[in-house]
Amino acid sequence: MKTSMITLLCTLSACGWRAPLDPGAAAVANGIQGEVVLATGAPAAPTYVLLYDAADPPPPAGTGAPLNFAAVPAEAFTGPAGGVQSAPYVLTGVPDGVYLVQALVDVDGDFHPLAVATKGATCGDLVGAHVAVDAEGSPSVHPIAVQGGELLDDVTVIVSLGLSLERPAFSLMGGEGGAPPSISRAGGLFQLESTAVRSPLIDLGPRWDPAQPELCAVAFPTLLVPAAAAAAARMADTGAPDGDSGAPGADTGAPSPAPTVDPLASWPKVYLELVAPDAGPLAEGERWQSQAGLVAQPLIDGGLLTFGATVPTLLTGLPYGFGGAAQRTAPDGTVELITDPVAIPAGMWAVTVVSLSGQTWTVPNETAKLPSLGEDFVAAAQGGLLRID
Amino acid sequence: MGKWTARHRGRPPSAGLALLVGLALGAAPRAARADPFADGRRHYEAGLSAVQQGDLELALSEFRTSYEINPSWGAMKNAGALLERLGRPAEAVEAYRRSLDLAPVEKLASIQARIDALMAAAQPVAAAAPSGPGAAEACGPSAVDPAAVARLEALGRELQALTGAIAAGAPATTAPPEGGAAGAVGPAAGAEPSPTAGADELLEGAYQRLVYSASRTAQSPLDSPSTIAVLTADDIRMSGATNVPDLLRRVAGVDVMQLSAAQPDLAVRGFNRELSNKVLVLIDGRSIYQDMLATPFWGTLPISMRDIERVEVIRGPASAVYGANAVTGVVNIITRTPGTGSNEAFVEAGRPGYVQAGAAVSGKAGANTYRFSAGGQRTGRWARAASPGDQTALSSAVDDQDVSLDVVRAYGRVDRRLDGQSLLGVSAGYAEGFQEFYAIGALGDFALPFRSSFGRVDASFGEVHLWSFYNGFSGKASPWLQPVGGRDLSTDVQTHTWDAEAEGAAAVETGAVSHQLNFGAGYRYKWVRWGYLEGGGEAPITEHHARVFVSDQATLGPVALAGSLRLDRHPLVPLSETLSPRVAVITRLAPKTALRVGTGTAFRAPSQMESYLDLNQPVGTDGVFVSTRGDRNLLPERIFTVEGGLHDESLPWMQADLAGYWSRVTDLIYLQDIVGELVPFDPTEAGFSAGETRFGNLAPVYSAVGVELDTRFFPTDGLDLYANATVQRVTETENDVSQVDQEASAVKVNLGASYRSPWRVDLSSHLQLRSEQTWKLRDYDGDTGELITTEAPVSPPAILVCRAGVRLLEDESLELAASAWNVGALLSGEGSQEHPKGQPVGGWLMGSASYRF
Repeated sequence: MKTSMITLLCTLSACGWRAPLDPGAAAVANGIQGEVVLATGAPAAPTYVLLYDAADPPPPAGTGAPLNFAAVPAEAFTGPAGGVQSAPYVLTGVPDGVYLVQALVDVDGDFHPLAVATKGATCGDLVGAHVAVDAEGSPSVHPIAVQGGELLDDVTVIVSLGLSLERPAFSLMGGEGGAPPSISRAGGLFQLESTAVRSPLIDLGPRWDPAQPELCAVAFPTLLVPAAAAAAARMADTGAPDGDSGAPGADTGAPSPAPTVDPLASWPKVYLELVAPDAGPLAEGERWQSQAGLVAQPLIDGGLLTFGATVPTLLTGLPYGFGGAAQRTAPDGTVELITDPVAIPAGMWAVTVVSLSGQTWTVPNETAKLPSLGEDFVAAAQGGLLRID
Repeated sequence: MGKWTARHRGRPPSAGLALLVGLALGAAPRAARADPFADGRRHYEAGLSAVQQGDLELALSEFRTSYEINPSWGAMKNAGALLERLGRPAEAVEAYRRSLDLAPVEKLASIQARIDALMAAAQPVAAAAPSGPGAAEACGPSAVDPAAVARLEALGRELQALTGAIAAGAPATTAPPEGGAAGAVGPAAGAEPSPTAGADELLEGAYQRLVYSASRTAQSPLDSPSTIAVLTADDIRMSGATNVPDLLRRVAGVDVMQLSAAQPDLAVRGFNRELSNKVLVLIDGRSIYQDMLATPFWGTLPISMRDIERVEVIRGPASAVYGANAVTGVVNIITRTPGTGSNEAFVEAGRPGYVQAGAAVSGKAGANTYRFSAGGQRTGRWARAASPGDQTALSSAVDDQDVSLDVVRAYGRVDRRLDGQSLLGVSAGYAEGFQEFYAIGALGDFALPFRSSFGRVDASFGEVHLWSFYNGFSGKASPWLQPVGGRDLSTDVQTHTWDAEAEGAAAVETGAVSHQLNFGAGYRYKWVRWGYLEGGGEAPITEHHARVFVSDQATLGPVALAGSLRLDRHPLVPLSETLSPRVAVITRLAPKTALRVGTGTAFRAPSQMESYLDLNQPVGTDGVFVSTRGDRNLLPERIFTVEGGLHDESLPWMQADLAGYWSRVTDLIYLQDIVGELVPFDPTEAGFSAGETRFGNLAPVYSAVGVELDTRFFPTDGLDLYANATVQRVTETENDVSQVDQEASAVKVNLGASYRSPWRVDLSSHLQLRSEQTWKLRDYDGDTGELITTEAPVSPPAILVCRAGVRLLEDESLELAASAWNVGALLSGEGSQEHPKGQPVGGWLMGSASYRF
């Protein structure tokens, strides 16, 4: 009878079974979906909807890289030719968090996310974001939050801005005897130089010619330097007060003080990342990064062009300084600022330049191993690394 | 009456308790048989001994008891022979007929001859008897033809004379054995030959456990060239196992790793992997190996555990006998013979979410015997990956997130004996439902709704066997959970396999050497349409396979030389890679002790996925995928093994097998590094290819060495103990650098006991202990695309299984039982992984009721 009872209980217990959640199951993931809208009237082109951590925003606001992206073929867009077109997108596997959603329309078809040299917007591409409009009617990039495995719907991404400048392509000016430029962990200067990029992988057009300053029609790799910084730099170059710049002291007739522009806030911004430490490979997830600042030295070799508050500045021997500090991201994600130069790993560092438009260029990149398609492009120079001892 | 009924001959441990329990159950204490075969054999041998002592009535009783415990054709044939000698021809005919139901084909003619002889002797009696209604009542000694009576009386006198001769110690004749190794106790020397053919010979060696799978012919385990283990229907019943791999956990040298409740994966002698791709699984010799993935889908079988008569497990390479995929072993699931056993209905239920019910009927109609079964099974998941109902970002192809296996199935087989030498058989099965299945690599857990079917015809004419089967499978595989709007990996799959084979056997004498030859040829056609393969499932991929094979076991006195050779034609593999030899020398050190030493090779043909895959896999970034491709030029995985073993059955209360082996394994197949140039945006796939990875043959060479000790004890009626231990070591060597492969435990121990008490309560328990494992997880470096290996240690749980059952009603036809599988997990409420990717392996607690009628 006891066995009968056990059997009966087992039979009853078989019904309504609810399995417990696997403690080793993957973390809860969310989804974000909506429409990407081309508001410019331009023909549809492959579009990439990019997801960024709101706490680590992309250039120009930060240095964040996309955590994920969804690709939308041109064929997916619907809408009248020359009018507003839209297509659906979905971002999956999104962990709980707060994010920014942006979009890049690859008008010229040279975007590729898997190569350093091609994973950026080029002149003529369209960009946009999921935005919110404030009470005054001003749009701004709007962060969104997801959690608990939800599928956040109707996250519309508006593409309405065309990029009018080319990516800030550059090369590292070499060290002695062809050796990589080298500086001390305690600090030092290195120099960047604008360059054209003529490669089978990507063609960024000829080097900027001040005599032909059209935007995109003749692509020109430039750096955007805020007028104040450029003025400060020119002041430093000439030693004369800058009466037109509105710089402090301009109206007093007194000697101008040292430039007050924060070198780390100046454009373009230059970032360093350790890629080959002398002590061996980094642990999985470990990163070392630093920002170099523009040094107010004689620097302008090609003159200035003024676009409102900023000037595109051709780099020729533009000096940047490494200040002997770096940020370490541990494998567990914790971030620490290392100010003791001795604690900074010696090794080879990559250099990334970010322009005010948010466009970037990184050396080394893949073009170094490809043939040059133009005399004004030295492909091998794209393989340079900065040595920090 | 069920096969477990028999008269208990020993004194129960507590007669008073037994009486109380017996009264409570409404019946007297009954026999206790842990291993019906072992106990049946004991009574069989007691019968032979009684014949030697001249007590034919006792001998008859012993043979009948043996048959009741474990129905065997030999016991009933001996009973028939004794009944002849005792002058009871009608009973003898009946005994012979019951023997005929179970006898192997090669024995049918001789048994039928005895029946015919007795019937012929009785025919004048029948002719003289009155006919019509009431004839039976009138049929008595007074109605018998006096001539027939005289013949029968003469027969009786001859039997008595014979009995006297035997009792006087006259030597037995050297009459040829009753086939194979069976000895015979024939008429005593000097006895007058009977003009009516008199009493038939008594079979001395017929009652022995025969195995089929080692050489594709029935033979004693003592004659097997391979290491072989047998698990019987009673082992299955007492184990409480819900699937074959769970049962096989107790076999030395076998590793079972469960990724989920519905996916146990088998490995033999190391090479514990996510797929059972190095073990060939057969049902009655029919392959259920799914060529698309190179693994069986255990949940899709059309039979339940109760349809199984026994399971034979060969350890070691067997391509010389079975061709491709019998790399490290073969599991042959042998179903119950139609017409044997009882009708049965059963229900099992328990946690987690486990329900199974089914029924089977078995019987005889004229020359036909049949068995039909049907049922359904539902097994809950031990753990769920997520709750899609609560997470709107996820979708699932499965409505019920708590079910791991849900299947209904039906199976039927009809055999027809055409004459004493010929048999026709038709069988078919169907299963429909779904099971979860962990695909390889990063693909993870899939739901697989399926339809599985097979059909088979057999025709045996003496030593010639023609057979053909069809296997069909269709389903729609989908990731158990998919992100809404993500890359959809759902895919339809459909396969058809048709196979035909002709095989023959011949016993040949060349001087003092006797040969047992087996030979044959076959053809197999494979058809697959699967969205993951080349062509995207638009057009099927077809393959034509063929094979020829021959084997000979030449015996000279106590020494036998067994050789097998098989050649398979595979459309993608050179013939030179499929030639599979096996040679073994078996020496009888004693009548029931054999030493075997052998060597052999085997190969695993690349699966259809490994040959034809064309799939763009997601990599965690929506706009990027990796192209995964098959390779038609793969070499098969190959193994070369040298092994030796000692098998002993010399003691009636024990069996033991000791085996040692060394294997060399090469060309294992796995996905290679991701390579490739930057490929432009693919609008069709809405993404960029991060490169291409192909299946390839791995460079490392593996060597495996191990020792397996398997013992089984039958100390007393009703008690069965077993213990086995495996020690193995697999080494991976590449570029002269070696490391130990510990995906299989280096040490494994199984201990078990089952006791069928005389008061109808059955108890059994099994404990499995395994040493630590270290799994190698292969993944891709996100930057370089290189295949990288990370190690993940796993502590396989100690699995304790307990079962208690009670047999009720006068004829013990009702059995209630309760069983607990993985008691540790049940008590703690937490399971333990057997694979880093798998679910925590939990427990099962269930009750069952079965009724035989």
